[in-house]
Amino acid sequence: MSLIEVSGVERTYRQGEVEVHALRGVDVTVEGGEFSALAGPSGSGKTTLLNMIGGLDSPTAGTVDVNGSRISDMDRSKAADYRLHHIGFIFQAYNLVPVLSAYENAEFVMMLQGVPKAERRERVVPMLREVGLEGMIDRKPSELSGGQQQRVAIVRALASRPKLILADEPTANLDSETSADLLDLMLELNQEYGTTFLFSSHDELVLERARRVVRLRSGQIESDQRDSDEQVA
Amino acid sequence: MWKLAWRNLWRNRTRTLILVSAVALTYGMALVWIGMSDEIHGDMAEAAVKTAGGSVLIHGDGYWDTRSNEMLVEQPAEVSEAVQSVDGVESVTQRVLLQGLLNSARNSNPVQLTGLPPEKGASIHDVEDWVVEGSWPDSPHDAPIALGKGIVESLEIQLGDKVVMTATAPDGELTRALFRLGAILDTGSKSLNESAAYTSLDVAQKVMGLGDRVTQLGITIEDGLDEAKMAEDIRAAIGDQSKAEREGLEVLTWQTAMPEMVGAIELDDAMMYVYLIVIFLIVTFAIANTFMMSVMERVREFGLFNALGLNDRRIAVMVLEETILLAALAIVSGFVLGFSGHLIIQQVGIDMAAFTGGEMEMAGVQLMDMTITSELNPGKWLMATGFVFVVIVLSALYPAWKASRLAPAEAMEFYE
Ligand SMILES: Nc1ncnc2c1ncn2[C@@H]1O[C@H](COP(=O)(O)OP(=O)(O)OP(=O)(O)O)[C@@H](O)[C@H]1O
Ligand SMILES: [Mg+2]
Repeated sequence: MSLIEVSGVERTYRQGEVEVHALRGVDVTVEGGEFSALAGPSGSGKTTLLNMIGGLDSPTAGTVDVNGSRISDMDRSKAADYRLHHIGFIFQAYNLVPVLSAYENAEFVMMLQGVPKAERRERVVPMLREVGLEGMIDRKPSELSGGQQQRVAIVRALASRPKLILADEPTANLDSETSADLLDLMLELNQEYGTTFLFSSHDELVLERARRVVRLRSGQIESDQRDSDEQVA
Repeated sequence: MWKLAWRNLWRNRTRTLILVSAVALTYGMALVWIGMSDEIHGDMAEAAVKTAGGSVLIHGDGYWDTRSNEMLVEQPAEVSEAVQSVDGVESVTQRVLLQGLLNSARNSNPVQLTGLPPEKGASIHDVEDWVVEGSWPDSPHDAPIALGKGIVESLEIQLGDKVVMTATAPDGELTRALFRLGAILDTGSKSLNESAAYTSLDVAQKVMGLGDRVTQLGITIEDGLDEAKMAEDIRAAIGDQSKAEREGLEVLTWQTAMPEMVGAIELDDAMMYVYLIVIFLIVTFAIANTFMMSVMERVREFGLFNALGLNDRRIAVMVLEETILLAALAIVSGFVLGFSGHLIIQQVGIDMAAFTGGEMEMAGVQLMDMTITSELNPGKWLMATGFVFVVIVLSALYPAWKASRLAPAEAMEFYE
């Protein structure tokens, strides 16, 4: 069984009289250990699809299974509990809790999981060092750059050792150099820990690093290409 | 998570400080108010006991309602002995109370004459402390009388002058008795000054032909005992001693003797609680509103928490933790305020005489103690504290619920 199985997913938003079809029948599977990207123009449904997979939103039709669990059928609280133990999230911005330090943010999910303090420290401190945040671990998010904040978010997602990390445009607010660094870091961690990454982006520089690019257009899959070398712009 | 709640609380320092001080002030004021009114109520009860003549009273049956000179306690010595044997009884004082008309050569004045035994403290009022002229209880005269200064003025008499009391004796005959003015009293109360007359128990019994009979046995009991329970015990004790006697007696608590006073105290208490509840309802809305604001400002953050795996319950708990911390802060500072207020008022006192022109009467009882201080009643304070705490936490329930219901996907919309 694949790690992610999306089948026949539709999502229709109602805005008064108007119906917006954000997803119109999406089928896609992702295997464990993949480093894949969702691409597509703005409004094509990338965020909507990621939210479906993470259980932040429910499909109007179709099913989503993650690691054998039907997340599309879970209620809010069940889905939240499921995310806590199996899925890490990285967003475009505002990833961190403003009143917590970099270190506290990084250990936040583990704290919620009930991982003992000593173990949290053991896991988080080396990872923060690895991503180049040594000496900044006591800083508040407002005292970190956008790239540094995103690194903290990545450490937080990874440290709790989820099966899957979903990242919605993690580099959209960063310059291209920082974006590239961050992607390299994610790829490195993907190889080191075997964590599955699924991220969205419309930055071709970022998409180049993905091993597989799924392109969406108007809520449907337009193309699905493995092996970055064969990618067409 | 408490750490997070604590830091979140201080994100908007000004707002939190305003809220904490508002609640602390209200709570502190409530404590002072409760303390003061408890003390006033204590004073009111004390005044009522003084006016009635004791915490528990024994009269000839029906006396209290009729105030008839003819209704007497037949064998006061035996009854008194029986009462004294009851646990918790402090003292039993025999008194003669007579309604009558006092005449001087020029004028007449209705009075209530109280005949008191000679020992000090026999009256709950300290008659000897009221003496402004003459001497009391020792007197050079055979049948001395001490009169309120209002009576003395209206009768236009001086120390040593003769006055004649006309009253109905127990046999129903109109009887006259001659007294000489031995002391002039200032009771501190205008109406008492115009009606109070004192003589010794012996003299009163002799001149009215009462024998050894008295009108009232005034009983004081140990602090903190329940009057109704004591009255029960006393009734039983009298019954044991002489069943026949008991038939002709009424045993009253000061509360049954002075129901208006009890009513006044209860009403005052109830009013206070109504005011306090209204005030705290307003505070509740203020808190609920502020917390709602602070939740709505953090929509994105709650979305993030939900995405990270905090379920609805944990998000609600997080908001409630902030409230609990706020409540604790407010209660601690409010308690400091309220307790200091209580101590200051207890030490200094507020002189009500300045506000009321020296007189205060409630339910027919003259309040002698015109200085309000404060009385600490741990039970009530604890109750008020619990109430404030519950109110604050309740006021955060809706915001907490709201926070937990924020749809994560919609919250995420803020990113774009
Ligand atoms: N909560 C919502 N209510 C109504 N319409 C919505 C909602 N969320 C998304 N949509 C619509 O669904 C479509 C897909 O949106 P989505 O956010 O998934 O696009 P996207 O590919 O992530 O775009 P972008 O690259 O700009 O982030 C859009 O037309 C959008 O307007
Ligand atoms: Mg998007």
